[in-house]
Amino acid sequence: MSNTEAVKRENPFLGACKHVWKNYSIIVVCVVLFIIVGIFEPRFLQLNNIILILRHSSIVGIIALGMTFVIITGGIDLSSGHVVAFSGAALILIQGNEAIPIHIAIPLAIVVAILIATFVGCVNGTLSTKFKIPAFIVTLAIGIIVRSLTMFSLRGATAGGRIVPEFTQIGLGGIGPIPYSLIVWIICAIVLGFVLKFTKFGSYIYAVGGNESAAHYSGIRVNRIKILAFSIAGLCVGIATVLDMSRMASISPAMAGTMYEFDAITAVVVGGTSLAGGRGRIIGTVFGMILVTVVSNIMIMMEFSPFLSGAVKGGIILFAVLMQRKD
Amino acid sequence: MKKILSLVLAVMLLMTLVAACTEQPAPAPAEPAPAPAEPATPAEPDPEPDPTDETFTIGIVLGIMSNDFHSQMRVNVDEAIADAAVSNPNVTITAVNPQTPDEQLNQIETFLNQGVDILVMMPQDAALVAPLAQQAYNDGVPTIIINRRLPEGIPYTHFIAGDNVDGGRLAGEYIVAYINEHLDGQADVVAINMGSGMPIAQDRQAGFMSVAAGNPAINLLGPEEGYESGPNRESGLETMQIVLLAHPHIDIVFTHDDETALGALTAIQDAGRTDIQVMTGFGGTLVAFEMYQENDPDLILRGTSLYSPWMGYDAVFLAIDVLLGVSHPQDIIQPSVFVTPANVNEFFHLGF
Repeated sequence: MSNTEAVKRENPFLGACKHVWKNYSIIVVCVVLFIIVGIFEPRFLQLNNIILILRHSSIVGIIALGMTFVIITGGIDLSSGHVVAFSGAALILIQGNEAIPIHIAIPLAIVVAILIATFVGCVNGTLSTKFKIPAFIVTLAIGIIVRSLTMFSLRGATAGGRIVPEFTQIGLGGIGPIPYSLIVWIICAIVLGFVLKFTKFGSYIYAVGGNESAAHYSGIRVNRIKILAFSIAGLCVGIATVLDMSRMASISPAMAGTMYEFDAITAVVVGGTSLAGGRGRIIGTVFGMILVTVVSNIMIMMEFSPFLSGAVKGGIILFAVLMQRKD
Repeated sequence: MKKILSLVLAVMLLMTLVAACTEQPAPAPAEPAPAPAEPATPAEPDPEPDPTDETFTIGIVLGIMSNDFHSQMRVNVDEAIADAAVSNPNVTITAVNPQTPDEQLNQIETFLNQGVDILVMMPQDAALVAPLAQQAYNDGVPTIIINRRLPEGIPYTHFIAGDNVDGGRLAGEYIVAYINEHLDGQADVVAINMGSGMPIAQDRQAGFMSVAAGNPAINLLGPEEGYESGPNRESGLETMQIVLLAHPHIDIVFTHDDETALGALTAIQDAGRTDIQVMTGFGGTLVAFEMYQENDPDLILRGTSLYSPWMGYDAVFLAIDVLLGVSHPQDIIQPSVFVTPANVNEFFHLGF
């Protein structure tokens, strides 16, 4: 039998499995993990718990979507969590300002918070491209600056806004059992996934990350693409901030957004995006985020000692990455 | 374009510097913390300086401002510095907050190199600062330790702290009393911690478990260390959302922190759970105290183990007393109290 005939006679089911594993291994890993945990703890697989896991994944998950763009271009953003605090402070201070009628304060606060976060993202992109400073350093420095400004503006103390359902339900409410934060995450994932996969801009994102010089010589405005990527990341941070802070209508300037950027980066990398740039998908980030977030749920459902949460989280991440290794 | 960007960057940096250097109006001073507990072992004889002619320096290294407690402690210390500038103008006091434990070591070392007369520190990690505390002692620099005890064998002049273990115990006793009075002597209880790796969380849980462990009134759901959360509302909210799904019936919730409790409270209200009757917090945030003053009978949050950051204010004047040769007990442990709607007015001024 010739090789061609052998290929033609390959088991179609096996071929389908290979195709799924090659392109969607992160999803397979998630499903396998859920099944394993569900065997030991059936309550884990209850619909309301699955929805809760997705709800808890959604806020940092939105940040991770924007982070995907940045990392595909070969950059990184270490300011995300700090910008959550910074834009969150603006959100709560405006929303809580009794001099502004609440029906004006809420939309105004939301718009301002999102604009601030997007602007900071634009600043990150501009500084890292125009001044040719590594994004690691730029975003680290900007993050420290905005966190410090947040602490200064609130004197380090928790600030509360007006606790009204029109505001708190943004983060707590939903359509039926589906939380608004999950709906927003799904919409953002669909939109950004479409942009990345089917638009010219998306192809430029990959081109810049894959080979910046070649992209430049082929006429792509590399700096502009990178600035836009960072701006998209900032926009995602702003949206996530609104969903996050509205839940409690308050902000702790020291604690808000803590470690969000690391969870987002972990989700992006576990989801298959290369830190070297040029490769990655939104769908991978989505399921990577679920893997990162599910740990706390597992710890509580299975009543593990909290001292083991780090070991469990690290183990899940290693499991996911090892399962996806492509030889 | 580059020039414009450079200008923008320079303006941002300048604004940051100006903001950092701008004097802030001193807040209105409030009452100091309640009287200390029973005296412990007397300290070594304090030095006898001449307070009228000589000038003295006090270096204060506080903790990382990671939550409202630490932020308020810094506010209280600044108030004490402002008050001391009036009462003791010959004493120069400098307070700093680190960003990391290593930075705290550098700050302590800097003060020692500058030759401060008294060193006050709130160790982020007591084991890390121990060598410097020993060095200060060897150099004859009195040290005042706030809130976190140094390792056994490391000398110090004074130790001033709240009692996390006792606070946990008081909450546990309140819960047991409630169970015996209202729940026929048996209840399902969950504990939500503020970060199992934090020593104060371990102390608070230990205090609670000193009452709960083996007590027939308490059926503790979940791990002995408590369910993992954080000292902020969002962490309390998310942890409680999962705990509510894991346990269809809960009677009482013990939390390590008021902020955690406020988040957990939102989760309970959002889920529409009516089985939970009591929640306790720890710390003394004004939001909780105001709830107690309103005394809504339907409020689940019923009590807080008070852990006031006013110990920072007291530590400043303790340091001045050391300079003046005024004796105090070596260990000053601020008594724990359990604040409820019944006694909140007595302790409201200590809230933050």
